[in-house]
Amino acid sequence: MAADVRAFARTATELYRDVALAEKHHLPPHDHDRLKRAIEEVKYHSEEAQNLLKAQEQEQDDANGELGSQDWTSNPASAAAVLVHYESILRNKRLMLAYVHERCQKIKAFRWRLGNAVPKEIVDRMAPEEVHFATQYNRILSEYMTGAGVDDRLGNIDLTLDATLPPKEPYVKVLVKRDIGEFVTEEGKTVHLIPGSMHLLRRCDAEPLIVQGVLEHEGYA
Amino acid sequence: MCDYYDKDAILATTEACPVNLTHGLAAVGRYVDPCASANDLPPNTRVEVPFWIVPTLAARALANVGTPRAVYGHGLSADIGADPGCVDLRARSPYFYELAMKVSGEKARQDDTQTLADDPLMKLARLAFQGRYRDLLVKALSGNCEQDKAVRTLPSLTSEERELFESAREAARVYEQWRNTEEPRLRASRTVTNVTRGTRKRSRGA
Repeated sequence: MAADVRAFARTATELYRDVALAEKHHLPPHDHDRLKRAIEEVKYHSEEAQNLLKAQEQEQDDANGELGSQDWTSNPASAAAVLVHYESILRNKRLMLAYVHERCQKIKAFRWRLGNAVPKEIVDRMAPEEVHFATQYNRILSEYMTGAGVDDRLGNIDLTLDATLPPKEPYVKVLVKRDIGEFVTEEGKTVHLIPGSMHLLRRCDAEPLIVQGVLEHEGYA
Repeated sequence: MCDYYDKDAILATTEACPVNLTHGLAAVGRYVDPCASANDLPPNTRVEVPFWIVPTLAARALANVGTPRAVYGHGLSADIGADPGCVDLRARSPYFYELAMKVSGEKARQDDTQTLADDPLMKLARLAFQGRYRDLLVKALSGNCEQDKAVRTLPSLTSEERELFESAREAARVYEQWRNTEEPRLRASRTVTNVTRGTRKRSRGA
């Protein structure tokens, strides 16, 4: 038997712990190596269980000449070992699925909080499949938002804006922190956003930029 | 299974739990418990295994479930009887209540004569929670020096209690905001600020 003390879902547990205990706003780099090692372990458990099953079958065939009978009562210790291997496979599967699931939830949350502008540092920590997931998710969400306008005159609605409460003031006072050059508002006006300058913008224009850290919210008009 | 993806359910079942292997265990002894004496374990050996292995073995009468002494032993009931608020449950296990429920659930399933409510472990967990819950809310909701109190209280809370603590504080904050009728100031996302500052906050600590 391969003497791998890391077996019995220990690798997968570490893998999952990494993402499960990370801070809410933090996405740890995708751990491809550990994931691969966990899959290797599943293969190892499967082989071991198969070997035990075969040995048991052999023994029984020798004993009573009946083919394919499975009676474990004479050998409960091996039965326990098979169960341990079997549970390890299921546990590995659960941990790996939970790992993928947890990361996808985080990626979705980024889309809702940050809009399209997910920082490059975050994208670098994703696996290629996750980047694909992010683009596809982005696409269906945009499609939905285009179609969700209750009133045709409203056109596109950005559902990711923080609209839990109706704003008291339609305009917000903002300070420009980063230079992004010219910005076209929803009303079609062009604003030059030069760092250090103050502007009075409509809330719906300003909100995504504030969340992305381009503008700083100074107060209400 | 409804808690298949649940973070707490998964992490709670990684905690160690002692079992008595009624029929022994072939070949894998040292892998399930690194402290075991050999790989082939004879009948009636006590080992510590991660809890996720326990239900399958217990359901087939291959193992008897014991109480995790490291978590629920060492004079815990005396400590909780004295002042539950002062006991550092997190040092014992971050999933103190979840594990207690799971272990007593397995015990009750094995032993028909015992109901879940009678289990001493269950009673202990309930007593601890009753005593700590009020303490926790008072600390979470008391206004001014909340930062200071939070810093002192948080390290001894289990993960479930932390969640309660944080929701209480969030509720208090939102209530305060509503009472002062101020509109929340819009802020940059934490993800962006973390990245631009180059600070990668490490995990919250196991």
